[in-house]
Amino acid sequence: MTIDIHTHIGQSIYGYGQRPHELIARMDRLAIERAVVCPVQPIDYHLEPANDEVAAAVNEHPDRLLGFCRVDPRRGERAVEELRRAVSQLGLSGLFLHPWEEGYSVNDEKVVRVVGVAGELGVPVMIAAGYPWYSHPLQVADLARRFPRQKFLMTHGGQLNISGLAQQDAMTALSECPNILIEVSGVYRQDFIEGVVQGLGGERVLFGSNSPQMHQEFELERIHSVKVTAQARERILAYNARELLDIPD
Amino acid sequence: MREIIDSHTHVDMNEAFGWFDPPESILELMDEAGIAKAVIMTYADAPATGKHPLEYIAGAVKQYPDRLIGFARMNPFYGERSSRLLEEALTDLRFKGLKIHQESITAVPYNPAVLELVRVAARHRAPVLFHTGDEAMSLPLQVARCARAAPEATIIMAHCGGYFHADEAIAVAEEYDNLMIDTSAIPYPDKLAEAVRRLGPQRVLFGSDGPGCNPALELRKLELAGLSERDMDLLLWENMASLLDRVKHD
Repeated sequence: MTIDIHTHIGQSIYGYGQRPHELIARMDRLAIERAVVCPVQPIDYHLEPANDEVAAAVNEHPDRLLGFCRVDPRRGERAVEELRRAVSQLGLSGLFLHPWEEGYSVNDEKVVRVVGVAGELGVPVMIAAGYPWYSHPLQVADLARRFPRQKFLMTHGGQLNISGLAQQDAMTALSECPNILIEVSGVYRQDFIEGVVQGLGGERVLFGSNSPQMHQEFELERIHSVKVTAQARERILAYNARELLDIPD
Repeated sequence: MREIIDSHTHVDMNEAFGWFDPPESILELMDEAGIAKAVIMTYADAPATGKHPLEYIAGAVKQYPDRLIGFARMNPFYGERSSRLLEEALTDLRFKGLKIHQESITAVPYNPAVLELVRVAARHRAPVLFHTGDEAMSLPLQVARCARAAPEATIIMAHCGGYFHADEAIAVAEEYDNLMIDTSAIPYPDKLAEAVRRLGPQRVLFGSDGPGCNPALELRKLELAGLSERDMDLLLWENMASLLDRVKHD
């Protein structure tokens, strides 16, 4: 089984977008059974209807898609209310934060408030990570250490840095915070992924593509090209996601 | 089978980064990916302390002369010594190009000391590879100023601008004919297809940034970009082969 832990549907104000049926068609072609879908930042800025759209897609394809909601913590209690609505009423399975696109630091007090509620609701938190200034791996670690029982998923291995300058910080964040997992779309250097698997264990790494901003097929091939044991690859491709989200076999 | 030159790989034992890549690391991956030759460079800048980066590369090339081609990765802030070392590398040591990593040397590409080395390389008709990786001194607009100041130099922007500056890299390459891009590490196959379309296939080079990045995966990326067979011939072999041919040692 293959599960893509990080995809988006909708038309983003940043110019990328895909519809649920386009995603599903590609998943069929690539033999990806399930995917987590998150909202984009929509052209009209409103995340609530985007969360509704994600829920509708999940309801239409319950055996293929799981949904994470997206909120903007700068909205304070409105963000908290939306998170509660999305999980309790819409039935979404996690919280997705994009500090770079929305424009806030991930270790800001307003984020702490929202993440505390995710903890109450018992859902994981995925953070678009590795972006300079806003979601650097040590900023994610600064947030994660306050919630030791909360699972966090850093996208892009926490180090969207093509000079490799954030690798040491990403490894430090992962070493110090066992509650941080990574997905590895776009990640710089295969040997970073191999190093995490060898040093910290295959249970810390998940396949995610960040489709459509990144290329789902290429990202899947990235996982197949990593030199790890067959068992670790199975974990990365599906088992870790199943464990995180209680997905049946 | 198509012959392939990988235009951007590393051979070094670098304690600072914890990247230990002897020549055999990249050779093994080249064999797996069916890559005949690779341009190699260190992670450290000559003249650095400890094991001399230029000697290390020259030694690897001497050991595997049919497979490896040396680029000199240099720090320009040693005055005359830097220029002299580069001259020596491009003649006696049979290097074929210059690599500048601006974050490593803390200088923008149009810094006068960098320009001095770029001009030395150009006198030997050797290409210059700049890191373009989103950081403060690795931006395409800065490389463009170098390209303008040294129009006689052939300048390659590694990683096609990186995660956030691919559009800018393509735009400045459209403006300056002496700029090229390499395809290494950037995770956007569609953006590379756009670069080939806008710049022409003669100005794009296949590079993997191996062995850290997997050359087979980097090749697969070009397949996913949907390039024509003719474009692939140029990117994978002909473009780099003709750049290397221009550097004469004898």
